[in-house]
Formats: sequence, C-alpha cells, structure tokens
Amino acid sequence: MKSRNYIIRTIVFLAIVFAVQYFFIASVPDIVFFIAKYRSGKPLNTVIQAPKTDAKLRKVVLPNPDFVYNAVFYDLSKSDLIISGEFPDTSQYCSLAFYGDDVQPYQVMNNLTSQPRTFRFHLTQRNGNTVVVSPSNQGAILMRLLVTSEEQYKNARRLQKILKVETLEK
Amino acid sequence: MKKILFLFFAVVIGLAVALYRIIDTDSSKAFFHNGSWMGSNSLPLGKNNLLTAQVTLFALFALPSEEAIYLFSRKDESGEFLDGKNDYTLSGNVNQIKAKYWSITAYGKDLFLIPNPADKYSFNNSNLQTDSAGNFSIIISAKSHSGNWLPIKSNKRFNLVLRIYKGDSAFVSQLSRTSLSEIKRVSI
Repeated sequence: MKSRNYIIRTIVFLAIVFAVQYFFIASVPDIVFFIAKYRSGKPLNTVIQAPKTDAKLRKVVLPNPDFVYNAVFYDLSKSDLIISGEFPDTSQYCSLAFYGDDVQPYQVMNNLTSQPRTFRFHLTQRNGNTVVVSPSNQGAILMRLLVTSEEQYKNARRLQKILKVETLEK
Repeated sequence: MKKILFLFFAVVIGLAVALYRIIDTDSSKAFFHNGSWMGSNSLPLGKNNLLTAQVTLFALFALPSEEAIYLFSRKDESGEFLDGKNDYTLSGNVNQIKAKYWSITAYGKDLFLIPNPADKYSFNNSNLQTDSAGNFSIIISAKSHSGNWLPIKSNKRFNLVLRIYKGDSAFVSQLSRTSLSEIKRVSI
C-alpha cells in the first residue's frame, strides 16, 4: 500500500514538473511582449520615436547602434489602425516589421522592394484587400532606419516624424 | 503543510527545468554553430515553443532570415568566454560577407551596449578602416587603440553580434559552413 502511494506521488510530482515547464516555456513570448510593452512607457497605438541608439537605450536587449527605431505597440480590440509613412530612397536601408503578441514577425516590408516610397496600410484582424492582417489583438510594429552618416541621421529623424498611426472605427 | 511543500518543490523544479532548457542554446536545434559563432538562418521558427522562447530571449523582435541574419558569440576561437581582461582581434575582408549591410557589435553580459568614452559600439561594412584589398582587423579591447578599436569593459564578460542584412541568398544558405572571421585572443 505504501509503495503504491509512493508511486502515485512520484507520478503526480513529475506531472506537475512537466506541466509547469511546458506552460512556462510556452508563455515566454507573451511575458517578454508584456514587459517590452510596459517598458516602452508610452500608450498603445502611438508612435515611439527612439533617439539615436547608444548605451543609454536599455528598453530592448541587443539594440543595433547603426539603426534609428520607430516603434508602435498596438491594440486592435477597439479599432483598426491606419499606418502611414515614408521610406527613404534605396541608399539608406529601412524596414517596417509587424509582430504579433508572440513577438514573431508576420509581415515585413523594406524600401529595397516596396514601391512607392510612401505607404499607407489598414491594420486589422479581418482579411481583405490592401490590409495587413494581425494574428492577434495586440502586437508591435518596428521601423528600422539604417544610419551610416550624419546626413542619413537627419533624414532618419525626418522620416521618424512622418510615421503616423490613426485609429479607424470598426 | 506537506501538500503545499510538495506542490512548491514541483513548481520550483518545473521552472528550473524550463529555464535550463531555454538557456541551453549550445544544444538547441534553433541555432547552427560555425566556429565562434552561433546563429539561425530559418527565422521565424513556427510553432516550436522551446525554440521560439530561445529566439525571443536572445533576439527579441528579430527579423525573418530573408531580411536579416543574427550571429551571436560569447566565446573566442579556443572556446573561452569573451572577457574584458583580455584583448581580441577579429580579422577578415570587407567583401567576405555578401550583403547590403553587415556589422559587428559588442554587448555586455546583460545584452545591452557597453558604455564607453568613445561612444563606439560597432563597426559596419561602410565605416571599417581597410587596406586597398578590403582587409580589416578589429581590435576588441578595454584599452584605447587607434584604427578599428571596439571598446569593451575591463574584467567584464561580453558578447559579440554579427548582423547580416539582405544577405546574398547563396551566401546565407551556406552560412553554417562558410568560413567566418574568428575571434582571437591576443597580447597587444
């Protein structure tokens, strides 16, 4: 009887260990997304124009000092969004990446392949034409602008200010 | 009381196992190893929870591999951890990496940029000093040097990240086998 209880307890113990590690590993992207959103210190659906990347920037790990970033943490639960802005010419690399709440990219565009240079996207969770379809209610958009000269830095700052997020009633 | 302790230990061990599995990148299927470098050329990783957790922690908001490749190194060519008590060199040819843009950046153990008086954190394919054939040598040291000097913090461990943006597709597909610049510990 005692040995049967011991076996049952061992099985229960191992099941709890397995369940905890499974759910913790599965939750890492959600936890990290929540922390990144919280540390941004800005409301959802607004553009965060990050300053030039240096050692003072400690919001997201492994920042690239050659890039100037614009970020938007979005929430589509109350309204769709219109994202508009402008890419630089092809001498200065720029990308616009859309991430779900699992911090995995679901859509990326860059100025080397996208025409015209100005862009305007309808961000929604519903399928349709000329829209970017988010896999989750919340997510993030990251605009990366490569800066290798003072002139490119000035241009990046100008383009940072052009990126707009507008809410669109559902 | 016994039941609470039983549950507590099971949860703690479960969390410890999860953390160990996440930080054990050396045996992770998410990353290939090439000399001192570890990276992935198949991001995003889809629905594998463990691999996704590893990539999330070591490359948050990473771009897909067709856009950018991230290679990470915390050890030199002899397998020793990179440490600011030593000096290192990283040599190669600027055209060795076929890409629109590539860079080498130093990060502290906390994965943030290392503060330094020179405000220098990285070198890229457009600001490296090279000879006429495109050969370069980066000196990674806590002590000031002329030329391609990448500052680190004395007596502190650090990491290097090699970023490759819009890499040539043939080059990227061979990245796990291609010869990459090794991080050599030197006496300067």
